[in-house]
Amino acid sequence: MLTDEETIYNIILAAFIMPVLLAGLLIWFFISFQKKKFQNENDRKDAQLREQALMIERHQAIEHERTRIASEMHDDLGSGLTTIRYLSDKALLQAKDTEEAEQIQRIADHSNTLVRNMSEIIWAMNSRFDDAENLAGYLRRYASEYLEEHSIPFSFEIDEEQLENVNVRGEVRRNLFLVFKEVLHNTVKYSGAAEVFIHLQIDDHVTIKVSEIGARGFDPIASEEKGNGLYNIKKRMDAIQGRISYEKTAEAMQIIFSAPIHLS
Amino acid sequence: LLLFESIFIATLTLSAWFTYKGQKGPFPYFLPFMVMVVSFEIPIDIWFKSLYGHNLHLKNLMAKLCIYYYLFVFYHYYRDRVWSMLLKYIILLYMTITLVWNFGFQDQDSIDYISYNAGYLILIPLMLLYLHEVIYKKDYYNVLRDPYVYFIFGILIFYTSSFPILGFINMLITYNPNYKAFYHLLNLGNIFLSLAYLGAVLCSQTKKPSIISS
Repeated sequence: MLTDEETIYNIILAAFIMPVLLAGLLIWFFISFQKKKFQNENDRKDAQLREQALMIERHQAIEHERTRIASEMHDDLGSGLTTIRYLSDKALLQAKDTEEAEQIQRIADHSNTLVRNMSEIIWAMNSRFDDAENLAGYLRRYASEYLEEHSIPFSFEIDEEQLENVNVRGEVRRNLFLVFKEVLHNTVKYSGAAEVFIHLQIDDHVTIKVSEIGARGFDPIASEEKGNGLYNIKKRMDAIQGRISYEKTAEAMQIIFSAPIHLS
Repeated sequence: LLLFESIFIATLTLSAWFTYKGQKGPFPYFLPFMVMVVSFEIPIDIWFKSLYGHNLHLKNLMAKLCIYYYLFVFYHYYRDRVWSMLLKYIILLYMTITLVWNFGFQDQDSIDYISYNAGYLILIPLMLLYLHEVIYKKDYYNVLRDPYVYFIFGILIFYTSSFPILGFINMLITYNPNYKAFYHLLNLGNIFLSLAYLGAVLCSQTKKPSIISS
């Protein structure tokens, strides 16, 4: 049996050692756990960064591939089609009768259309043209060629300062151009517009406003149900998170379409 | 009712309610264990005190049953390990010896602190192993949603705070006229233990530990 003095000594010792051990254990656990948590957060951030780097790499690879295909299309198909056009023009001059001339003319027209379409595809694909300046230039040139061909006076407005150093992704550029093309096609074919004003605005969105002066106007909902044109326009705008609206005023029919430059 | 007894009752009620709702408890057979704890701590305790004037033989048995349950919980957790068979035999051996000791040799007017401390000698390495694995082996997750962490810290705090008293209990309480001071200290440890049970029940009814792979 322990003496009273020894007992008290042992109790004090035990009462001191055990809480100290427990406190040590608790401190070890919480410090180690916090370290692990911190490490885990770092690992997660690293993983996110790696994923982002991978995405950028993939994006660059796609852009590189787009540019390569565009160049090859330009060099191989382009020169082939130009040759067909040249040869058909030459054959047209040597045609013996009207029927033959008509056939050759059809070949020439088709190759002309193909050359134009292909140049549009090349423009849309080539990442070298992924900027606002190129987009504006291309839209202006297209509108000029197309509307002049159909003898519709037009004006194209843009603030040149807005174009500086603005990158516009290929997908946005391509869809905006195709929508623009469809809108002008409708203008020429259905609107009966006496004149066209085009306004291009670039901030965090690319906004294009086409005002058809003296146009008859139309009901966009009914037209969308009837034909493919407006339906395709809507689909293209949806694909680039854009919006399109139609406004009829006393003087004009206005078609406004807008898409964010950077997709979320 | 003492504070820790009220917490035990609350834990039992919540555990029964969650079981009734079809939710799993934090540990296997936790509800029967809580029924046992509350029964031993309150009605049977009152009954034994009225019969014998003290509750030492009841406490001896209850302490053993609690340690058996803790060992069972950890055996269940580690049952897939290579060494689980060894653990099973150690636990069975411990149970046999302590039961034979309890009913054969133990002086029923004093506390069986040897069985109590021996049980913790098996239990503590299992608990430390769990904490070690939380830190070094498992993927990071929110430990506040892990019932085992509550359970382990509750038992460790209870054991640490009560060890000096229970280790020398016969001298301090059984034969000491001023035993009430130590008795209050023991109750304090019980508060931590009951809170650990409650925490385990509540956290297991929220979301499971969210593992975020690194």
